[in-house]
Amino acid sequence: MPENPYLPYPAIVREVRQETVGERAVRTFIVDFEDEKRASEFRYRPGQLAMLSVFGKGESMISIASSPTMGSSLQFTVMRVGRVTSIMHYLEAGERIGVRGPYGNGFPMDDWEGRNLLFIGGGIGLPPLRSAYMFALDNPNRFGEITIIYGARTSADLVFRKELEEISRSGKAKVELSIDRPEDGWNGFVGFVPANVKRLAPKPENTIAVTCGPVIMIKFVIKELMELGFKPDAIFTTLENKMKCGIGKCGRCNIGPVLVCKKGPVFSYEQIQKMPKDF
Amino acid sequence: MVSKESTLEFLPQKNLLGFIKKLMELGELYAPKAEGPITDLRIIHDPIDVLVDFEQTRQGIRAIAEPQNEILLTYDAKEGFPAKETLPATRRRIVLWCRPCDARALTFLDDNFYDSPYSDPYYARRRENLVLIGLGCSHPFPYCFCGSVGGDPFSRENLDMLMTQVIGGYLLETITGKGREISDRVKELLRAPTADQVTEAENIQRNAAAKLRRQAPDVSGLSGKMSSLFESPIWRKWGEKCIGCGICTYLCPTCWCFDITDIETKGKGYRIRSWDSCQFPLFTLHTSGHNPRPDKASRLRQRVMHKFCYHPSNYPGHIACVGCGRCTELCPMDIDLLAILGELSEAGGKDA
Repeated sequence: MPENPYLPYPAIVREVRQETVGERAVRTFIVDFEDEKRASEFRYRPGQLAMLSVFGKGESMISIASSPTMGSSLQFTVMRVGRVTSIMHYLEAGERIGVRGPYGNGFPMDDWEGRNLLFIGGGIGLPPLRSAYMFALDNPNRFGEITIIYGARTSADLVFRKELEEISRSGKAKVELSIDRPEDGWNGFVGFVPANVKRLAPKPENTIAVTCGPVIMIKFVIKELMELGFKPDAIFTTLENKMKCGIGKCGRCNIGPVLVCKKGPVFSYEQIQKMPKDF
Repeated sequence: MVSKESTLEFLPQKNLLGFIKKLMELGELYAPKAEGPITDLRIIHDPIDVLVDFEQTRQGIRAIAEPQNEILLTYDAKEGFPAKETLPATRRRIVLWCRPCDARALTFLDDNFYDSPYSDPYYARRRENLVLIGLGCSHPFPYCFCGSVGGDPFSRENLDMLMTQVIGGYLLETITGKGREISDRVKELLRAPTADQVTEAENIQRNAAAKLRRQAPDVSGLSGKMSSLFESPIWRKWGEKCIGCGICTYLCPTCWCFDITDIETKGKGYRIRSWDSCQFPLFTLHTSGHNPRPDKASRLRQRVMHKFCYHPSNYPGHIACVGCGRCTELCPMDIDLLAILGELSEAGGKDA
């Protein structure tokens, strides 16, 4: 009999990194399956999801923020915003968390081989993109130029800021950070992410654009990309609707006939154009 | 009408009580039972509780195939792990006198719960141990329209046995191997039917569909007109009537949506699955505050489109409505599914 898909497997939190502070703080949890066999069998692609369990509070579907090229540990970058994620933020290194998955299609990295990759993230929408740009940075010969455009409300809300600055310094990728409102000491762009995209005017030639962030941001970023000449089949996003089961049964993550947990969460804009406007 | 593989027997009225008693020995028996003003399919502990004269049960078989609340896992409330699965028992469960439409509904629950790559082990365990003995509808009820959504008052779909009430008893048609296991064990209560009894049953079966008082428009083409129907102004119109109570989805035999939550009591933790409804705003609310279906119009659209567009587009030919009429009959605001479908097929026709 195949194993029960609802059964989470115990994983140990190896490290907790504080990404941002405040009411909606963000932490990155680096976890390892307790069972070595499961750890070696858990194969995932950038852009896939996993269901995290904190017993007593429930489950939450979180994108995997790490790339499989980064080793066997899984990384989850979680904003403290709901019932489950709030309790998750109390977890310390050495404690246990439940993990089941991976779910969803992930990014079609193979199809993107040889192309320039443009990542456009907003707020807590960066972690799923990180799995893809880390994968690309770890496979430098397979992809062209990599650009990361990322913005948050304030400079204190930028996740992975140090890492992004290091990437920028290393010259492996071009990194453009922005914040929504002016701040003392901020030398970068001030304004919403779609405005920064418009300002930077990335070239569509041989380039795949991948965006994730608040739904409203995604919609405006796509609009800007289309105006810059990107074709719908060269624009990708990851739509992480509310999910309870993760395995295509509970009935709530659909956009029209498409279950996001099964057929998504990654869709090209060409696919999205064919769906009802239900997200 | 009667297929070649099936066999026909006659159950005399005077043997009915003995038949029910025997079924109770052969498994856990569910049958129509009166609970105050409501008749529903309930576990039978006393054969006399089985309601012989009943119309439609309040709910279909969904509550038996996928209970309203169910424990998926148990865990230690302090440590969390180990989490243990709590699969349902493998005992046989017999449903006596489900209506053929309610049996048909399982086709769509099967579509969902068995769909690859993850078959739902809880549903599968219950489904495989379920024996369905249907009672055909000689006199369909006022809100029924099974005949226009691919069903029939005497549909055999998913049934293991089908009973037709005739003078002096029931004509019992055994359809599947699972049904055969039952009829073999009640042989002493059954008689060979007379030619008159068979003819009487065939006439009743043949004439039942003509007695349906309501009819859905042709809905087979709706899934091809998804995008134009999605933008239709009728959702706002009907959505304004809706009070969002969710009764349409709770009583629908083809609805299956659920929530998963944790509860803890006395040191023990339970992860439970419970019915949920697309008619509730929290159903799709993101933690960020964004809600893809923020109003009643969009939630009503989801309910109707799912059954008549989305499901058939994923499972060709499977219109996820069996025409039982419960959503319309029991809606406190008189939202009439057939009126909605009528407006949809008219609207859809324009740009087809």
